[in-house]
Amino acid sequence: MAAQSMPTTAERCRSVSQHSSELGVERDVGRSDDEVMADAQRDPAAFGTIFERHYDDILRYASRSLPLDVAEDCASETFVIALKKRSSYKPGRGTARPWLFGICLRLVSDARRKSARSSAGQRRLYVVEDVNTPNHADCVDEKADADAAYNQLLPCLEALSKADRQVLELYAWADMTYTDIANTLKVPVGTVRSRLNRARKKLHKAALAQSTAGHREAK
Amino acid sequence: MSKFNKNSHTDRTNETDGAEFDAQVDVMKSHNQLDSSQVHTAKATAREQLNRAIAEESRRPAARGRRPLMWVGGVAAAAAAATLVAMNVSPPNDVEVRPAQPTATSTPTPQPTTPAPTSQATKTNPSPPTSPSSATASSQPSTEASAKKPGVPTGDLVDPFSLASIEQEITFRYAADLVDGSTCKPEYKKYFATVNSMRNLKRTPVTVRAMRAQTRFFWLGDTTREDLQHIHTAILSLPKEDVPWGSHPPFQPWGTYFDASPHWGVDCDGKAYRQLFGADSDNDEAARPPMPRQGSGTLDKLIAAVMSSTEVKTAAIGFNKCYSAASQQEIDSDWIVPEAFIKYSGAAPKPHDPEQIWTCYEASGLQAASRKVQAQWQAANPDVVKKWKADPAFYASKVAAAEKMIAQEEAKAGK
Repeated sequence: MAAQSMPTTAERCRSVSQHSSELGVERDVGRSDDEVMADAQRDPAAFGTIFERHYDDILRYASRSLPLDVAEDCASETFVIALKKRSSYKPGRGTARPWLFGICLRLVSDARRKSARSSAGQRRLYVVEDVNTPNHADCVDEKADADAAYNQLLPCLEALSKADRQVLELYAWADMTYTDIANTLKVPVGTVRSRLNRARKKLHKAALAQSTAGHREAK
Repeated sequence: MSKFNKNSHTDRTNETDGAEFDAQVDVMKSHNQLDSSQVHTAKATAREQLNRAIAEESRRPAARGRRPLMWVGGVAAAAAAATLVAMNVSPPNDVEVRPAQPTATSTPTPQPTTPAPTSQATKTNPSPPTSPSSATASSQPSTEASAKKPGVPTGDLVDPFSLASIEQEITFRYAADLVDGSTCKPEYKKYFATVNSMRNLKRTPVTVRAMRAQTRFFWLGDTTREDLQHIHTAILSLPKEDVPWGSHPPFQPWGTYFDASPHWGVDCDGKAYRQLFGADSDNDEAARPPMPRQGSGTLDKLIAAVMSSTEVKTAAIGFNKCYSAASQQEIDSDWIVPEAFIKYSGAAPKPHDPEQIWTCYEASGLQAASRKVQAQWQAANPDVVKKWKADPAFYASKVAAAEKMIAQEEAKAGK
């Protein structure tokens, strides 16, 4: 009996694009998330468009604070839950992003709680998959620098309260506006401002302390 | 440059602080950036999962509408199952023989459903079925029969932890979490334990991709007749439209694996296979077992046959759901997890917990059609092997079966 081989990455990607067109993603170009979500209430397949639009952002966000395999699960689960709870979607914002991030945040929080690996995940080394990429050495150097800088910042981030850190992460990693952050966390915009301001002050203090310690060591 | 300075709360800070904060935000941004190939790969897998959820959601209203009937049917099926056992009925011989259709790309679509599930059992016929003909009789629900047979579930099937509920509501990952709760019915804990071991496997590097495709999987090894009754009744209590059928390229790693459908299979030893299906294995295309069609009652007959067979000592039922062509392809390759391990890693699987994984790996450890794989597996699982050897009769029977199988494989290969 001929057994089947595992699909390659290229095949998987092809299958995604096939599904995209099957599910009418191209048809939805130019339509707002609100409109697509309205369709998805009647026809679940329409939800595929929401997935295509936002999956990358959600995965990138989750992978910032979780090991990649866990982040992938969280991202995937976000859309399955969103699909099942699509009736709870409140239109009016034009974008489903805050709603999706709200779901994702809860999953990420759960995963962080459950996984003792979360901090290891944050500090994990980059896996450079394609070593034949031009300027490979430069890429590695850049990433190593980024890792070093982030690792220096990490203790400061970990010292923040969960609420402050969540706002900061949404701001930095999801590139959200204050309004979107407020909608995601279901708090007033003023609260977002004050949390971000508090985070900024704490980071400033921590940076000062690090700098002072650095000077002392240099002397 | 981040948006910090552009936002209105900058009036509470000074420019130096703002610049410093922007730099810190930039550091955060540059941390752990995924490259596009990583995103694409993950996206494909996530899309498959979403497509399954979409398919489920698309069918939900119909399923919901029929649920009460099905629950009644589940209870009726329990009674019918008891009747079957009491009658000691023989395997079916009225099965329709369909040519194998190895079309991995076909998407299973829900077939017309029967109005209510009735457990159709076959009349006694001790000879192996060789042709698709003969009569069947429907076993009518009989509460008396179930009352006579201890251990047969009746109305208590209607509980949130029945396989039917789990199949519909919970992915295997979360089912595993339920095992930790004390509310799970004891007879189902065994199944969950297996599910739990699957969850653990999921984290291993080799299967991490493969297992993602398998959101629902029940694997029962070393199954007793009572176990099969539970499964029988649980599967019968599922709305028919939740049991999709379709074609499936045969995947048959050790010679006697019967794959009845893409999403349902029975594994039993060779003798039982012949008794049930009149063929040595599904290697024989002409005598390939029937592909049960939804609503045809064949599934009922098949399970009834397995239950009533005097030859089936060890049987396993895998139950899975998948709807997209892409996912189907993936599930085809990982239908049985141990084989997926062996197939893709080239090495023996290393169970996370030998106790939990026992049922799952029993087959691959002893029945693998390759001495090398068998030896690898057993070397990697000394505790499990020790447990096997604690039951000499069981171990001897398995070794004998494995020896025979290996000899056949070697003879075929001309060794």
